[in-house]
Amino acid sequence: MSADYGPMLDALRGVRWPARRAVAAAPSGAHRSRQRGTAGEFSEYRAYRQGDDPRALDWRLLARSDRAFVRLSDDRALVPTWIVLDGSASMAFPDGSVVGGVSRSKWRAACALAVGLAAVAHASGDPVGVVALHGSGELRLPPRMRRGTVREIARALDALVADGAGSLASALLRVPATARCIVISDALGDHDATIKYATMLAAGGAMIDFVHIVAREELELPAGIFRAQDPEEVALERVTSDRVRAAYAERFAAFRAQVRDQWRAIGAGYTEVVTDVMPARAVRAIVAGLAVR
Amino acid sequence: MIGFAIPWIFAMAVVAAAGVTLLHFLSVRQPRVLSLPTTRFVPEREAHAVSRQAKPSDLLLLALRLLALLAAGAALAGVRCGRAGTRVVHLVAIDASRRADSAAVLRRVAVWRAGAADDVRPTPMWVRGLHDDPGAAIAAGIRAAAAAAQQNPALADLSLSVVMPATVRSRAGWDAWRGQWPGRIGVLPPAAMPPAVVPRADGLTVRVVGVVRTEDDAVVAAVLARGWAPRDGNGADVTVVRSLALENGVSSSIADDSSTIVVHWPVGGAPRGWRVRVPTDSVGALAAAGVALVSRYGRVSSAPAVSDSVMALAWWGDGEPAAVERVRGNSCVREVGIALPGGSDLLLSPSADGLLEALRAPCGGVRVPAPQEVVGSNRAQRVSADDFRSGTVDDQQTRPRWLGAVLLALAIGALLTEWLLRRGSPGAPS
Repeated sequence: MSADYGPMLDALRGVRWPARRAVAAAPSGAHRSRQRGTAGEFSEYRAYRQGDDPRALDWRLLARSDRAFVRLSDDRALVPTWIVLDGSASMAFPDGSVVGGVSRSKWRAACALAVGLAAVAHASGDPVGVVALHGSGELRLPPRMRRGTVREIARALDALVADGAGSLASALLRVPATARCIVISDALGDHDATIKYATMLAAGGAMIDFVHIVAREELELPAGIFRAQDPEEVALERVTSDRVRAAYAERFAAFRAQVRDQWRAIGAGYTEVVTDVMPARAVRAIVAGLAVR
Repeated sequence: MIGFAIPWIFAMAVVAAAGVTLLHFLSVRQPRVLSLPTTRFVPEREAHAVSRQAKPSDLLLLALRLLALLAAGAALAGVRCGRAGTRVVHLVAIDASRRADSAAVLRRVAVWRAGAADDVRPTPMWVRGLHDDPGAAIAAGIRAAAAAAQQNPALADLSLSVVMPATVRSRAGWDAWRGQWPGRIGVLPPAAMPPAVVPRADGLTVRVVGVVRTEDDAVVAAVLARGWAPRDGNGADVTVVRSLALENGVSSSIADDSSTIVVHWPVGGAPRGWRVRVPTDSVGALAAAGVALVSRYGRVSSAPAVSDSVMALAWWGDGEPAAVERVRGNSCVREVGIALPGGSDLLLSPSADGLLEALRAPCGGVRVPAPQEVVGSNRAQRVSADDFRSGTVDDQQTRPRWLGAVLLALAIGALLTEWLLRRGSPGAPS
């Protein structure tokens, strides 16, 4: 594992990531399951209905009271956690930005968050997998529970470079509806399509969290006059100057608010993370469903 | 040697060329490229960044622009190419009557110039009529200065010195023309010149011939009343001939005695050689030596045309000569065409002093003191040659004349080439 993640993982030790609601039927795990069965911890009795498994009848109660009841219990289930990373060219911004001796582009911040979230999920006993879109294709690591999974994810992400303009929406198509899906992106690519597929996924029962990565350099335009060029759409050029800074900040804030509202509207969690925030702190906020402060 | 008729136009062209060169050290460029994923949120607005450069850009375009500017400026400024001329000219106006002894006069001028601080060689200028009115020297000096300024682009300073006689007939021309010369005028003192005219002393004697009864003659009465001593025979200072023709004895005495002034004043007022008026007319006044004599005159004759040898002494009120002086060798004969009735007391009035003074004056007319331009200094002050360049007809033309057309064609060609180069350069608007 990259040494960069060591302090962060130490800071996240002991953090657990409970599911926000009861999960669908799944192998036994740590999270409360929507399925109630016979196995496990006793919860309540229910009158026998035609079609119930006769093996669930409480024969002793039937013998004592001549009433047919079935024993119900809460199941605990696993939540496969998918971390979907946006590795498009816009995530490489700001190129060469260094915080504390470490390059802190949006992509690197996203990777750190992904590793941190994977570590927390793995520590909660959930299988963790990653889908990362990048310039040369798509990295897909299916959810696994075995030891070394987090290290494997970190190593794989370290080898990637953000480039190109991959489709985040298509990656969401391959996420099962029973999973927990964490989308880490700057929402500057095919965001409308991503929202559309995320809506379908959420309707299927998936728990979705959107982590909005924002570079500190994006919040305010740099001083001076530059010819701003969109890395994913080279034809799009604008000139920055002091006169447009206020209008830019206003527009960008409105965009972020719109993104937040869109995700929350489909029941997804939304957390905005600025690149200069410590990753462990951001991971705790995401896990708790709080805003990063 | 290169000069300009209107230097400030070329100076403006040079300033414009300097400005163009300065602009080539500035470059209007596109701003630096910044890869910004949130570019879509930047409002659309045009912007250019201006920066300085260490080296000028587009050297070929710069050269063409400078060539066009300087060539057009030189053409419009009237560039003159030629040999380098002297920067200072010192004109010395000398009366043309002294030309006969020019060697002595120029030697005196050279001696006089020897004390000057500069080593400018004087340019002698022989002026006719300077002894009559020194204004002729100023008029001639202005003409010569304008010609020198036109012919010599390098000429910067001019000075004028006048070899002034002690007395002149009139200062009217001098007073009228003096303001036309913008600088000071040096006056070569007459004492520095070899003597030319010997002034006569007063106490005149007069001989009147051609009248039977002198006591009835108005002219005789007038001259006697003014104390002219009557004298018979040759040797009189003034001989007044009242007959129609000069007697032979009088004519020979004129040739022999240069000190005698012969006044031919026929009683009828029509000297020989004058045109008799038919019919006669009348005129109300005559003027001589600056004094007017008002009366009702009957004019019976007209004077011959005034020339170098015939000089007017008195004028009728309408400007026609009433008395003239003819040069005869070293002396002169004065002819008066004024008819006076017998027994007239007109000449006895003080107003007749001017006429009689003009008649008794030495040959050459009535003399007045010559103007002295500067007291205590005889050096001319130089004036700018530009004062004599402006206002002339061909002032703005180039020299040689074809040079202006060539320069303008060169400027237009350079501009066309520059335009074609700009059109052909990448990024130029189509």
